[in-house]
Amino acid sequence: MSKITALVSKELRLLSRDWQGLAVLFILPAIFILIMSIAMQEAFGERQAVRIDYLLIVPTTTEVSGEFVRALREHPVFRPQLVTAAELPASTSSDEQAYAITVRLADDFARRLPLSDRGAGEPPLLTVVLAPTVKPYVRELLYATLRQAAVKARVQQLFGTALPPGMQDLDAIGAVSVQTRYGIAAPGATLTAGRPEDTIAPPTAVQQNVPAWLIFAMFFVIVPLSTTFLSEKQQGTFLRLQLLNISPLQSLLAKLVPYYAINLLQLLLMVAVGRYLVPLLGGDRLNWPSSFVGLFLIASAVSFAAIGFALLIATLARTSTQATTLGGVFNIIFGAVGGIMVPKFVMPPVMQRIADVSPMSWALEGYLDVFLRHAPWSAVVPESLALLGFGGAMLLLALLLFTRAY
Amino acid sequence: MFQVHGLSKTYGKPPLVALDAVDLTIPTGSLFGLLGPNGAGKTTLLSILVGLVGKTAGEVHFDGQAVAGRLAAMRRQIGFVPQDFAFYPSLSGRENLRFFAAAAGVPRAQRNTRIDACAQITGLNEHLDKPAARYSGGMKRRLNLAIGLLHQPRVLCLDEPTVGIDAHSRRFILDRIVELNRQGITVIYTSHYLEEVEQICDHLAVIDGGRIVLQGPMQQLLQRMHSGKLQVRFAAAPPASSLAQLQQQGFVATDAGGRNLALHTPDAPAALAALGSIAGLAGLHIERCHYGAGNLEEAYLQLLRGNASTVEHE
Ligand SMILES: Nc1ncnc2c1ncn2[C@@H]1O[C@H](COP(=O)(O)OP(=O)(O)O)[C@@H](O)[C@H]1O
Ligand SMILES: [Mg+2]
Repeated sequence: MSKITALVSKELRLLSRDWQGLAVLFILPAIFILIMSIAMQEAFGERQAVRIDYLLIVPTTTEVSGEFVRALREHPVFRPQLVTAAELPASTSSDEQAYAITVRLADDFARRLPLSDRGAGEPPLLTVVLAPTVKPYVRELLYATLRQAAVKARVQQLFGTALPPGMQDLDAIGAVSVQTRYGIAAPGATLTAGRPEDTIAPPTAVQQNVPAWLIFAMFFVIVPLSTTFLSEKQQGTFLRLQLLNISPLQSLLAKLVPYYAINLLQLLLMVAVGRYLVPLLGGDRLNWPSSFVGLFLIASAVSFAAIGFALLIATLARTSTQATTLGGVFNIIFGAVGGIMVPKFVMPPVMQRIADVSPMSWALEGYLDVFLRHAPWSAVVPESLALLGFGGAMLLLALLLFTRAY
Repeated sequence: MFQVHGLSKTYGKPPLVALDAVDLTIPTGSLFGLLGPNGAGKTTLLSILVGLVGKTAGEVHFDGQAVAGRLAAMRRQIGFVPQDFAFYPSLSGRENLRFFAAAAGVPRAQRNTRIDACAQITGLNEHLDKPAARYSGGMKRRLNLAIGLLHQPRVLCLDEPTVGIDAHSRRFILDRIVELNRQGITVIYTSHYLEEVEQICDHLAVIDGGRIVLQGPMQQLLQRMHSGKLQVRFAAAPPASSLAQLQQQGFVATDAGGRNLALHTPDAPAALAALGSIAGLAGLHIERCHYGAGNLEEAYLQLLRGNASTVEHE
């Protein structure tokens, strides 16, 4: 036991002297988070900033259509520009051409909306005119919005009261069945009525970038780890340790502890950057996770995966340059594929599926569970298990290789 | 301490024979020199002795018993100083010693005493708090040695512990090794420097191309190889008359001008007396005169040459 303690404290001491390694682990990700969160704020489309105006032509304002219009007005993206049919002739040509989307309510809209039975030959309640430039998913979302508003208006009419807030949400989810995990569905994608977590919008810039660069940085423990590991291998310190009856397993396990501590420290620091530093510079403030236990769990699993991977590369490599190059390349590939550099929600569905081969993508999903989807701690269990499995496999391989060469 | 029989080691594919049927006895309490050029197989032999490298064939006995099954127990009695600087350059000398002491299982209460003692032996006390990376070559060698001493081993295995250091540091390390040996520690000392081995070791084995070409107590070997050669070098080539006189005494010029001469004789005093009188009469200035010790070197080189030629003819 005292041998392990000695090994661990040696490793910590070595780390504390390795300024370059520490800079890579702490300063780099902090800078990335700052830059990306602020630079990408617009690109990530804060939802209130995305706005699609459309022309809404109403006959007159009656009870029901008033309720309907009110419901439409609540929509964060589709913003109706109200015109009554009476006002229309004056501005027809200019207005109707100015909007890519026009929605016209039938003259007897208010009368017919509450009726449940509608004859086959009956004229439509409302007519939607779309410019050819309107993308299919925007169209679908618009239809859903209209249906949702109609349902609200009818309910209001039938019960004489608005739905309580909770039920409104449920209703909205049922009706707006066009959202996927990352919000707006790609054209042609299957539209599924989702569980609540699936209808959550894409992450904000800070919600994406804090976990993403944290994961990336956690995997970069390979730099300091392989530097010391290779010098131990090359300079015969491992030989010396072996002669002191320290097994390869002990040598490897002793590396887990200090780098795990480093990874947790990175977690604290990066969350703090997202929470306190990014807003100072004009970005969004990172929300607290829905579950601190979940956050700790997923972070621990990511750490195990990252260290296992680093150890494998370090045992494979002959020189520390080789290790840092090999590790760096793999990390960048993992990151590029896994939604670290390019957020997954902007990837086409095929890429989103490819992303799932990257452990960094599992890690990101885990973090988003608690930062974005307000999930309980149990939500990160699948991702954590996958990461632990990955780390375990890497560690086992490293141990096999290392025992042979030790 | 160690008995080795028919020890062979082949590396990789195509097979490279690093050790070829080595028989060796390292007596307890000896200061055993293992001498051989680079690539001779010294490190391989040492590594097999301490169980760092597996053998291809043969037997190794430690204290009269086969090593298999009691490797850990054996290792606790061995201090190993690798050829490379096997410590952490970014840690200070003290931090290195502290870590290796703990790793070696030195009880906490004794650690500081042991660290001080080892620093004392190797003369590092004043430098213990500097990062090892800033040590000079000699200090690094001494730290490497100090680490091997921490757990008070009965046997000290030193793999070329004086490579790449200045004469002063080398002298210091050699003296310490002799001192440790006097205190009862068996020392196995590998080197490719003949003078070192000749100076400090009481037993010698010469290894070349994976074979032991010579072994025995130093005294015996020296006597055996003592071919009694006297070498002289004059400050300037002597005049023809003096040269003739010297040649009459049996001296043979070993260069064109006759500045360097050599004489094979078992009677050193007589030869020196003759040399003295001839040089004195002619007022010749003797720059250098050498008898005895250099012979081991010559014998060694001859051995290596002989071995190389036998290898070539095979
Ligand atoms: N791990 C190894 N793999 C392959 N060949 C090796 C290995 N270690 C040593 N050798 C070869 O074995 C021979 C003896 O090497 P070594 O024992 O290091 O010699 P020395 O220590 O006397 O310089 C050399 O030819 C060397 O190239
Ligand atoms: Mg060697």
